[in-house]
Amino acid sequence: MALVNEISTFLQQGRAPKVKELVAQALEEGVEPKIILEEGLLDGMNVIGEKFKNNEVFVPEVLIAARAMNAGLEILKPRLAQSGVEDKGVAVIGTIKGDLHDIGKNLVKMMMEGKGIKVIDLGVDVAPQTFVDKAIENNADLICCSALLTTTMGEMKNVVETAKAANIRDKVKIMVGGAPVTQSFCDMIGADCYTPDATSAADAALAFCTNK
Amino acid sequence: MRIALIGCMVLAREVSYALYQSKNTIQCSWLEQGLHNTPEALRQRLQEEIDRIESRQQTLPAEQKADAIVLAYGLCSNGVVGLRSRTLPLVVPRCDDCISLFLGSRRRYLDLFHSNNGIYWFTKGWVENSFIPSKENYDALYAHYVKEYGEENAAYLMEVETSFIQNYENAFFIQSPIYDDSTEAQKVRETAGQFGWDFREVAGDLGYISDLVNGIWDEERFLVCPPNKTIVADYQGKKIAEGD
Repeated sequence: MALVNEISTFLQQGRAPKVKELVAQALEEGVEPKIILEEGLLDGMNVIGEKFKNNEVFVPEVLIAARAMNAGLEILKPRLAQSGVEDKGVAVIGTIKGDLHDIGKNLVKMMMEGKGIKVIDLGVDVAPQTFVDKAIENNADLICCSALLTTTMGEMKNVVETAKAANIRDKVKIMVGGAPVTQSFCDMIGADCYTPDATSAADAALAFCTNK
Repeated sequence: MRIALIGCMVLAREVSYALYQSKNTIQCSWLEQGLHNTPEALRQRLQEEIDRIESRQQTLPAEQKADAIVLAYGLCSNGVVGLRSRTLPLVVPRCDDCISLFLGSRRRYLDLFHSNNGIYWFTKGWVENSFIPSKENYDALYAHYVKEYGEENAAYLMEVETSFIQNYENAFFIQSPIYDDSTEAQKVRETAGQFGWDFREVAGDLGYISDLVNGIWDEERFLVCPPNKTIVADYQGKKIAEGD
């Protein structure tokens, strides 16, 4: 459908006002909210996500595309709820205790939202107990922690341990990421998933949520 | 002792000062600052340099061959993990990054890290080699974004890129014991004022760097990784270790 394709295209260009306008127009014309979401907004984010993974676009392009997606979502959300479209999963996300840089975490959040996952952003400097409490409170499928510093990445182990102590390890997958984090670190602390970039993180998150 | 040293440009002044005073003969290669942002690229560049040094060794007369390759790097986002040499021992400081090297020890860095909220570190080397947060730099970045993405998106991008400023509380400037860095310190002091951060000067200490180039490599502060072993991460406090 031409209109929905246009939404995807304008989203990829980061043109938030245009995306918002076209989403409103599509709703008025009676296009199903689910179609607007999946074939317009999420499709656009998928294209940007793949390009980002292949170094064809960079952080600013992802940020403005995600902003355009959110502009569209803002008016689409109430209609999605009315028509019974559900989130594909729930993730809580934050930077680990002591770590204050959040651009990477924000990118992952945007990419996950671009897959239709509801993301609860706990911000920066998040204590292990907070990750776990918020995961329980929101009935989350995923806990996602990021670290930019080798000084702080050790705290991720405490998130895994705290989740174990709270008996939620069978319900919640723990994903870890950030520049110094590696697969071997993920294995060592007993987390479930490491991905090297935001796009793969969103793919893995979606896989966890749909294969539950 | 003869040493082949690979260093980050951010430490060039400090390492050069130490090697100028050293009894050892030291051959230096410098890599540009900022590679820690892409640890995979840092690892690759370091490995290439290690390989180049080792190949060159074969062409040198015995008295000119190096005894070790020394890295003037910390873990640097784990960019040193995975490195290996074929013929020479590989010496790496056991610390998170260059801040420990500027401060003289990992312990001193960690003490400051844990006793102060949100420290953004500065040195003359950082100011002259990298994009550091400052009003001036952000004004230029904003102008670039306006040109590339339009005014509305530019304002949003700046909001995202500068949101970390409110998470930090302190600007610590590591003052050099060997050269005049008052201009850079003043610049950072102004930035701190603009960002609402507390500014503090912390005395630099070249002891760690000096021991690195002088071959005083105790087990606690340095990993001496033998040839044909790989540097692996050690999450138990030693930072790095030798693996297969």
